[in-house]
Amino acid sequence: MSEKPPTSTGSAPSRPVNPLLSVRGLSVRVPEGRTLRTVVDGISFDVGVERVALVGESGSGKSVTARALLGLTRAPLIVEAERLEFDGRDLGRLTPREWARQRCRNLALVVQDPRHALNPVLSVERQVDEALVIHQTIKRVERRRRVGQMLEAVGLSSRVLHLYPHQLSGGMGQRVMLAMMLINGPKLLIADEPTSALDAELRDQIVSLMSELVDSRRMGLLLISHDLQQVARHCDRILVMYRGRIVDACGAAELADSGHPYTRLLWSCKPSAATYGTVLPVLDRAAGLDARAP
Amino acid sequence: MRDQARLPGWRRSPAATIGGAIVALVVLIAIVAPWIAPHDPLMQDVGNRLQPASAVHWLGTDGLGRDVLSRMIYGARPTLGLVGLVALLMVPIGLLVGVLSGYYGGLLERALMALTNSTMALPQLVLALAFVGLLGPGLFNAALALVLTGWPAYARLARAQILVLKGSDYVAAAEMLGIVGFRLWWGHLLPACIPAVRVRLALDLATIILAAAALGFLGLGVRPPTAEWGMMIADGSKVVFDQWWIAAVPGVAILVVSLAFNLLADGLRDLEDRR
Amino acid sequence: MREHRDGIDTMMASTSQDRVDGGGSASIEVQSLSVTLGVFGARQPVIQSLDLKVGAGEIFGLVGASGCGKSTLLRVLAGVHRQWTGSVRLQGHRLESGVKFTGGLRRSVQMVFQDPYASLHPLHTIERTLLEPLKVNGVADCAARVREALDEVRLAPALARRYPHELSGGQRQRVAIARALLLRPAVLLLDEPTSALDMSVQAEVLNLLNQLHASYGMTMVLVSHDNDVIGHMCHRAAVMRAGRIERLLERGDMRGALPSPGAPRSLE
Repeated sequence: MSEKPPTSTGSAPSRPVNPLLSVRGLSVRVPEGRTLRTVVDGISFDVGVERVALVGESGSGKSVTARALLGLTRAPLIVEAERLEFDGRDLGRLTPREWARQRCRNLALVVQDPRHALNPVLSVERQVDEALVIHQTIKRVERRRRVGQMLEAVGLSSRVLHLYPHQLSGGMGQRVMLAMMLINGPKLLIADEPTSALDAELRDQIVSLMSELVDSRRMGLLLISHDLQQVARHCDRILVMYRGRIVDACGAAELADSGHPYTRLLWSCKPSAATYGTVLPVLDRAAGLDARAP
Repeated sequence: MRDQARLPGWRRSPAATIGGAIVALVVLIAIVAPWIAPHDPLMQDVGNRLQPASAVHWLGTDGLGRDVLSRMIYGARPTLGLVGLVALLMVPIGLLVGVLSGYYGGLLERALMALTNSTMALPQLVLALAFVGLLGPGLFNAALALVLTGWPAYARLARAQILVLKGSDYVAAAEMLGIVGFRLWWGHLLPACIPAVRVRLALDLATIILAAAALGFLGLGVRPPTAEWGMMIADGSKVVFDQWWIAAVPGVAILVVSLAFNLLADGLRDLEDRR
Repeated sequence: MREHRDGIDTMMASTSQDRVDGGGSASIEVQSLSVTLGVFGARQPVIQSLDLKVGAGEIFGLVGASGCGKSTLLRVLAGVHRQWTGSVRLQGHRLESGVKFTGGLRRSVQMVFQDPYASLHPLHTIERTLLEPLKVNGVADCAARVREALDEVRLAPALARRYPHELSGGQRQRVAIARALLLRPAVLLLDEPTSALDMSVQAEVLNLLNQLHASYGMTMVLVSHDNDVIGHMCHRAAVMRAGRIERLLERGDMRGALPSPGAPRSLE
């Protein structure tokens, strides 16, 4: 069974009460030759104190969206939005310095490969401490206590403190990233494919950890992933992106019965022991003449 | 990042564009020298010697009354000729040595690398002097000297690249499909070395121009009365306090071309990085 | 350097025409295989005294966490990694450590690598990548075979003139699969062929692999860290841990969730 995904049905922003993050008409374009290519095409959504997933494949624009939300896109990408508000504050008008303050203090980002995001020449202790120092003035004794507490909360023993990033396994690296990002008590955690670089058995562990932390601290979580079934297990609401647009939005419980063909496809194309001997459902692409996915 | 915009080549690196443009311009000047030089560079006019810039001689005349501008234009020829010759000989030799020692390893590698390293120990200009001393001055001998001291750097560069590439998936795949020996190192490994070599060459050319000028300055390059920038500086240095332009003009020419190659090298390296 | 003597072309030709029958003669037999990596003081055992048998035409899975040695095992079978001790028989031919594969043996074992961005030469067009192995191995009518190969993996013929960086990850993997099948190998080794691909692209590639297996019946050894891919593709599988086979799985064991290979790694 192969189906063409229909063009955007328009976004369906659900409106949680008191959204932490409110996005309307977010677009990201990049100049290519003489034209502008649209990477994200006017999407709108809200994230409250809940767990929302943004799901899509390569080229859907989901990672670029995450970067844009944090002001981390660079020229030549052009970002425009009708509304980009976090906690009542208009993010569109921030100066770079204000952005730096918002990040980590109120908005946190966890990326795919922690070993690339961690500073290779600083020990774990220094880095987690540094995250604290940049945003708050606290005496050293108190800082040390908080660092210890945070590491415990992410499931690491204090032996990790003196290790360097290259000595950490993938899973440990992600936990350190989480510790660094959450130690300042941000209100929203954006996780961009946090488990793609990890082995299958670790993935659920890390995402569960994130869910627990987010719940216990009353934070919002925006989880960006290509794995629909993983996010279904851990998130409340799912937004499905395809080629720069949000094509479907539904609750996690309704995913398996979604009416939207692309969502149904993403859900059912996952292999497993149960699908042995069957042909997996696939997307109907123009036979091979697609240019490289952006 | 795969999201990088693909700007047209020339906009992606101003350094490469400017450097490349200047080099291209100088090459063009050297080619059309007979058509654009206002005077015969060899024609002497002793009655008119050591004249400053005038309407007839835009950059003045030298010690023998020859037009400085024309000599500068013609002087591009031996300089670029030498640089081109050196590049043409030095790079293939170095690449071949490097690729073969990297690919085959073992005794061959040890022997070639011993040769490479000992050659590297020789000082370039001193060796050049010895060569032209033995074989006599002239463009080709000077070029030979520079080639013989310049190739080791490329051998080492190529070998380092090959050692890295030997562990790559596409080389493993090629070997599994029966692609070995000459076909493999010529068709698969060598092309992958080219980008790094290109950058290194552009940088080297800047140095080679200076070395060529130095040889010319010492009277070991082309024979007089052929116009050559290094030699022009030597001639001009005798009267530099009063008739400064005779040495300054070729000096600026060398500076500009050397700078152009440096910019080109810089820009090429930036372009390679982005890929 | 000594080389294996050519002489099993006929053996390769006949096995590649066999359909899947499972059981039957063993295509791959490994006994007491040990591999140590590293230099001088820092030698680490990567595979320890491993035994394995894969039947002709089977799709055999190797699953385990990173570092368990599954990729190294594959590379030993591919003839890419040649320093090992023990006994390995491939298509009835006894392998010797330290010796390169040549001739029929070399043609009978091919591999699809994990990273679609690194397994195709960046400066060669797809056409050249597919043409060259055919030419080198003296195959007749190369141009037609290239067209056939692209067709087999559902890629448009126009793609032949492109360079790898102009293709998507999924397309590159298809080219890699086409390339591996050019010489009709009896054994196809796949090192995490879909882990770098999107879910929907992975589904396409897995479907393709199943189709090709149905057409050609070659023995396949599939390495993955993803239990689901193994469960979907393989007749049998081995769970590896720390250089050894922890347990063998039959189809019956795979129905329902595959057991996770050992306890979650303890947090140091």
